[in-house]
Amino acid sequence: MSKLPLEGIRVIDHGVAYTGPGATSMLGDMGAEVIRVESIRRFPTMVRGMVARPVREGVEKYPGYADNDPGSRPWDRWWQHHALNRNKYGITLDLSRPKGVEIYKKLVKISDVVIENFSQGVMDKLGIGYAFHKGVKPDIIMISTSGLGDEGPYKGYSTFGSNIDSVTGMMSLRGYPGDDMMIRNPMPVWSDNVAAATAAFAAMVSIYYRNRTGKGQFVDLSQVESFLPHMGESIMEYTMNGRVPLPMGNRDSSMAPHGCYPCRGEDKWVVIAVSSDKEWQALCRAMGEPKWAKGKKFTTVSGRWHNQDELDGHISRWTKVRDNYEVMHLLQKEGVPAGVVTTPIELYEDFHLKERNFFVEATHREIGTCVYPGMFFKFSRTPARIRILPNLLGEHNDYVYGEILGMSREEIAQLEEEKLIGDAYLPEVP
Amino acid sequence: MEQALTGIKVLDLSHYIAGPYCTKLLADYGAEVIKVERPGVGDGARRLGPFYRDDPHMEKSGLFLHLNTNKKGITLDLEVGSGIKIFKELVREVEILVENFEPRVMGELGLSYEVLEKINPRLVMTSISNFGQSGPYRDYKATEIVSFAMSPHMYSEGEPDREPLKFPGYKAQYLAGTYGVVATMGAFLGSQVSGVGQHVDVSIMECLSSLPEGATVLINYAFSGEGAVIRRTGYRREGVYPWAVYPCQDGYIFIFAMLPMMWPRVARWLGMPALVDDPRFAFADPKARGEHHSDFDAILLPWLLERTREEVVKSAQAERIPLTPVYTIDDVLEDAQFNARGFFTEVEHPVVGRVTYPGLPFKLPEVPTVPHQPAPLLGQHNQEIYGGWLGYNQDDLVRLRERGII
Repeated sequence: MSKLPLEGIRVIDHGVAYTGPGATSMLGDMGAEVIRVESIRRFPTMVRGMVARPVREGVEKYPGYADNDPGSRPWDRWWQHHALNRNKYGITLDLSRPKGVEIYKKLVKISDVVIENFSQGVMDKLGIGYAFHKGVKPDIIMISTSGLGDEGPYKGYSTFGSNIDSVTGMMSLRGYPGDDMMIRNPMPVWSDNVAAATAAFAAMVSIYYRNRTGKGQFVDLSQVESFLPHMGESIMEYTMNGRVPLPMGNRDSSMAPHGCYPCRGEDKWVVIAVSSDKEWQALCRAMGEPKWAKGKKFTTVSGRWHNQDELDGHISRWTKVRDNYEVMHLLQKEGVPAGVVTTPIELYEDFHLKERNFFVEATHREIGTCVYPGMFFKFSRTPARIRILPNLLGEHNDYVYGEILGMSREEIAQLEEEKLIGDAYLPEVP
Repeated sequence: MEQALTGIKVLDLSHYIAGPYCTKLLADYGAEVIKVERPGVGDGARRLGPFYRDDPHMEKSGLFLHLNTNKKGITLDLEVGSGIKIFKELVREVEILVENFEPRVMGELGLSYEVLEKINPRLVMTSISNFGQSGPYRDYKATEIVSFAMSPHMYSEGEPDREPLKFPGYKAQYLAGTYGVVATMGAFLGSQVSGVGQHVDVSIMECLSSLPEGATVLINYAFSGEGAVIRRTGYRREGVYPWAVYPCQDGYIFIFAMLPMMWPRVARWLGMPALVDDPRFAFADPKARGEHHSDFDAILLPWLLERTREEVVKSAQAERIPLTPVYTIDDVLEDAQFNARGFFTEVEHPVVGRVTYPGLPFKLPEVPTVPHQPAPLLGQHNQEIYGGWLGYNQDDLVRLRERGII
């Protein structure tokens, strides 16, 4: 099989929660050798569970674990780990002890990129900040992602998920038109997507620059700053025209009809967007040329836009008695942009995604059969695939310490003996 | 001046948002990006607002200006043989080509990857489309709301008793552009090693269902069934707190502190140590805690209303509580953190003049910062590119302009 594009690049992954693991999985998907460093001494945030040992008397179901069952190795069965950590070699290493750091140095010496998204100061406190890494490998590329950045008056501010949205102005725009600011939904979280991809991009930009100049880089990546360019036109509205944008909900500045319409069944919806007279005529055709649509007020772009409340009412009455998939296919057949508001169940069943082989069915050592979401890209010559399933804790200790770092069986056994490495959380970890 | 991606040449056929944001990221970090637009008409984004002073002029679209910084602009009619021939000459000169037309278009123009790789074997061609280059939905039409709906996200956005809500603006398309540049850079780095390029097929739908957020929603359902599917919960998830927007004296704040380990910090922050052991709010008794959500709000709200947003944020952060101000866009521009870090940047444009724009998503300390160049006027760099790259002289360009090729 052809070499994947990033083969030969080694990435150390210290990621927790979503951004770090997401970024390094993207690099791993494209062939980088990602070595994910965990610890049997310290339970990470939002990776392998809320606690290491969740089993409580009298509790039967444990949502979040595969089949709602924590099993004997709960940390290998948690949903976040399975969603985010494929194509990585997983090791454990106690970086709080000098001997652990000495071994870590060996790994750094032969690596290209280090990615971390701990709370501000954690890496420095362990003595393994950028200065340490640069000392070991002068051209190392280190990406540190945090909510607001490692420098500035808010450096080190604690942020999770939608905190990013509140500071970018996104939260002030997420809502129905005319809503009170109090009515703001904390889900879904989106900013980690942008930060993860931005971190992966930053790593590759830095690799290209290093290849040309021999210089490494420390990138202090603020999740908020990664996201702000996605608000570009809202920001330009203010900087050009002095206006503060307000929520538009499902409405558009000029397209009509444009919105989300109820369909048959409980909580079933379809979205429709008409951007031209041609698409309007196509919509009318799809709806069987209803009499109300012949009204003069709906013939023009302006007319439709100014009368959209009435228009939406008519369309809703038509969609309400129909299945949402039926509406989508019917409208698309006529050339009208329309889409179902999908649930996760429907996405797993979606015949387009199945045809595209987006989902990957695999058998995992711990959880058995699982259908994993796959790649967001397709490479024509060097197809990407899930080569390594989400790692068991410490699963690749032997491979990394033995094959990559050249340690003997005895040396590795000694590390296990000293509890510097291992494949289960120490009993004192709750 | 030498920038991070100096030396990389990109031919940019893309339009609207997804493709242009991908190439903007390349251009902003120093790649030479040549944006190809239709003569006379240009990129459709030039017709989208907000417009400078509300004048819907093709050189005054704020969206276009933001998305096309640092790019050079040429015009070329790809629907005629003469234009196609010139395009193929340009393809020979570049490392990367990005397009986001409907999937049938490049093939219909005779410019499929199979054709172009023969002209330039090291070419990385990235095609960003709504649903991908293959599959039953391949030719389906989509706008932002359609792309956002067909993902794990829209179903959960909004109020429980109202219709699901799209995100403001063009978030799905910006995301596809960001994911697209990841796949493009990866393929490009590979082409540098192997000497051979490839076709990169990026689907907006797949980006939104992918890691990290999309994948976690899907896997959560796969593991824990329908109970794990987050329906719209509205502004508060009953029983899970503190996790919402709250008003304070002079604005709003957002607090994300519903994890057990944060409760003692919340108690300390409010100066109410008794909360830690208050049986109404005990995590060990989820039923009780759930039932007393409103009681907690009744404690928190008056406390917040007596304090300014700045006080609230500072005091909460001192206790390591994830609490941040809810900014409107004017607040964002005033924010001390962004200004201290020099995030925003001023760009001088020949028609709209000097305006503040969002700057780089991250800085590279080893690389000198240079000011952003403005988005190109339509056909602004025809002479530079056709002359400099292809050796066309003024007469050639006049001829091509008269025949509508450029």
